Amino acid sequence: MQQTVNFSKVSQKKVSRKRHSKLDKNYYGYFFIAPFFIVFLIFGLYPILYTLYLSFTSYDGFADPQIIGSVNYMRVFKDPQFYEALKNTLIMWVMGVIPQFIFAFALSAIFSYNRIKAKGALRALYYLPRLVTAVSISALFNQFLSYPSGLLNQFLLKTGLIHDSINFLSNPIFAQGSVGFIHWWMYYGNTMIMVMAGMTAISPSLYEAARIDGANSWNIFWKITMPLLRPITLYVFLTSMIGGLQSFDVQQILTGGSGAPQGKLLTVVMYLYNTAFQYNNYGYSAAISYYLFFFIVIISLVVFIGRFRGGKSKS
Amino acid sequence: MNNEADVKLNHQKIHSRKVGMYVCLILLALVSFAPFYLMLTNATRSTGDIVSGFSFFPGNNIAQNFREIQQRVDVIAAFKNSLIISGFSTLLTCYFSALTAYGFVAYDFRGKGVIFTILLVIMMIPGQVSIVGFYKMCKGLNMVNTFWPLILPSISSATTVFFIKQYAETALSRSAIESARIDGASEFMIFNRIGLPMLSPAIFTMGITGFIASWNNYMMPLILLSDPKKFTLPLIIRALNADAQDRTVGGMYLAIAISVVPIMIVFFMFSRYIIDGVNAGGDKG
Repeated sequence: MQQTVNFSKVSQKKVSRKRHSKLDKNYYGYFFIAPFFIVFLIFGLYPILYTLYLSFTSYDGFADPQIIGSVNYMRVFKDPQFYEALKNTLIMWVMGVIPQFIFAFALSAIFSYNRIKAKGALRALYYLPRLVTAVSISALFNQFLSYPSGLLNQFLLKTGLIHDSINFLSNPIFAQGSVGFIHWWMYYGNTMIMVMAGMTAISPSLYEAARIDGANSWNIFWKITMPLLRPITLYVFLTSMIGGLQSFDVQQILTGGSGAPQGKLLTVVMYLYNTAFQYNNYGYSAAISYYLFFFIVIISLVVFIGRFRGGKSKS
Repeated sequence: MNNEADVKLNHQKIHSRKVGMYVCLILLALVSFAPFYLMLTNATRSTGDIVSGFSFFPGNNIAQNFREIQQRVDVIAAFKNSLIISGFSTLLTCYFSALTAYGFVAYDFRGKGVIFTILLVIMMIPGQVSIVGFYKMCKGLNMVNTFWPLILPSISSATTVFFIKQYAETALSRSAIESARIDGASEFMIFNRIGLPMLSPAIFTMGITGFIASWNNYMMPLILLSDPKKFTLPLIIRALNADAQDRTVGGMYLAIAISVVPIMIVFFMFSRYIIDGVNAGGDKG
């Protein structure tokens, strides 16, 4: 990125030099990039600003929006349900992201230090769940976990581990754990591939030198690989957090939108969705959106700066 | 002697460690694939069979399951709707992202660096934050219950532009463009005839990921489509899943399979390209 910026600075000088040439078609660049930005203004920027406007109104979907100042924001600030939803969202994200990282690093290490047969096929299988519709996966797991005769109950009954069916999704901790499991299952392959891209970029000569000095794989992993992977780890971690803060599909399908049991599956995006589209409180929902936006912007800035500085220190 | 035995022991240790490693890797692959396998077998078994016991073997009830499910929701129409939306979105994303990327690479215009930085910022904006405004805008434009707001925004996919631009920086041959220009070709003709083919590997990769993303899109259709005739597959799955009274479990599995199998086919055909595209950035997980 740093390089691109430099490159374009140089090319701007070239532009002014070449401006008068008859063959200069550089202004065509504007025509080429125009459709992208026009569509972004309509379908991207306008809704963002419109949401901002609505967040200062009491809009119920029927009457015209009435400007009420910062009332909505003050309300979110004191809304226990918002904080509850934020807490749930973060808990379920943590439950998914910890095993995700453990598996991603372990697998990347195995694939990078050893010659594994069928590496491509295994990688593809690990990655597959990431691509499949989250809605379908959630509905599938809903069937597996269903009471009284879902697959998991049948399996546990058959093996004699339990004597009566268990209603898993009515237990808050188990329900949150299930979401964490589904998130792990969906994304560990994706995280693995991102981590692996970083690992393969590390020069093998470093490993060789360490081996000559008598280091074993364990030491190599903790003393060489992990420190060198710090920038990419941070990047993967923060993008996962941004995704986690927006999680919606799995919880919405598992609970039919209610966030039951005891509201422990209600996420921030579910809360703002329900506020707007179930209770027609668009203004308040817009304010919740902006709180979420605020959190995400802060994390994104860290990502952005991290990437920027990462590029600088390398060159 | 002693030394030789040591080496042998060491070999054995390495060997058993390798076996253990493969067992773990294969087990994990099974964990990733088993839910899909059970989905496929259960899609062919009758509801009674599924509820009464669990089996790894397929049944022969698939036609009946399909009839049951088709009576409750129109799966065929939903499949068609999903295909129309994803197909057109993919075409638009591919063409316009390539156009934008080409514009950034082939021309040097004033403010290019700043504009590209804006694009990078756009890449980071989370889509779900503006849903309230998006919905209200679409309502004002009479676009609720149409496919337009699901297709048109594909023209401005920042991630796709970013990926294709990176590729174009090395793949685009300036001399070919220059010589076509001297031959009198117009700038758009040069892009269509020379630029597009040169960029096609990157366009292809992003096309596949774009198609899958659109096929899986849930929240936007959920907000915008309330007419059951316009439902996409994820909305059908949601409707079936929420309908707790009349549970035809076999049909439910079949409906899930119908939404999942096309993705699996696309994936197994093109997994290499897809995994290449993972590091395109902005891929949130």
